[in-house]
Amino acid sequence: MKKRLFIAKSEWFGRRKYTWWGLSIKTWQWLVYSLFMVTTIITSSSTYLIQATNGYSQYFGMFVIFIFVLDIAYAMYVLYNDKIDERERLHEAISERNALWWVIVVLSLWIIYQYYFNMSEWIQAVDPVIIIALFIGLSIKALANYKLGKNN
Amino acid sequence: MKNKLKVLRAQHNFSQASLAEKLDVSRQTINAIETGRYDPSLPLAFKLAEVFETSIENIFTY
Repeated sequence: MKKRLFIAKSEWFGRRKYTWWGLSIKTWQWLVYSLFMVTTIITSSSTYLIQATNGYSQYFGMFVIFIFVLDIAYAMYVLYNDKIDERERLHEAISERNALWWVIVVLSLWIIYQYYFNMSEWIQAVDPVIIIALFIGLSIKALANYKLGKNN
Repeated sequence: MKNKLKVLRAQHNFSQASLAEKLDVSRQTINAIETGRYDPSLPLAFKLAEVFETSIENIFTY
């Protein structure tokens, strides 16, 4: 597996185990890289530069955001798939499952609460985004189980 | 499942970290196997047997 997609190397980052999801700062290169990208994005969206470049700096900023997001997403993919051994992978799977179960419990309780307090009024009873999120989760789970069942 | 990993590691003069590096796993995983908290997969058991130039049965007993 490649170490990097565009600029950032996966070894610059650490895997978060106890503090949220995503990546942690592991080396100074990650800090420099992030500062450089964020500074570039902010600078390219300044009014002066946008006017001076006929709006092209905004496109450049969007391009930098695109690179930045894909770089981080790829580093996460490497760290969470390739750089962990079988025991860590098992731990990751169980902790993610537990986290998801609690998210589902909270969202379900919120749906019940919304429905109970809104059903008597002429407004949308339940936030559709929550329903969509739960259905997407259901679909991903079904697809993952199907694929895993076929592969091993 | 019990194992002789700690004994074999001492015989071969490997630290947990160096064995972990050879097997491409974390040091914590080696420690977990040694203390019986984690049973490795068959591929990892084969790798261990290969490193110690012995059979899986000689490392693990059930």
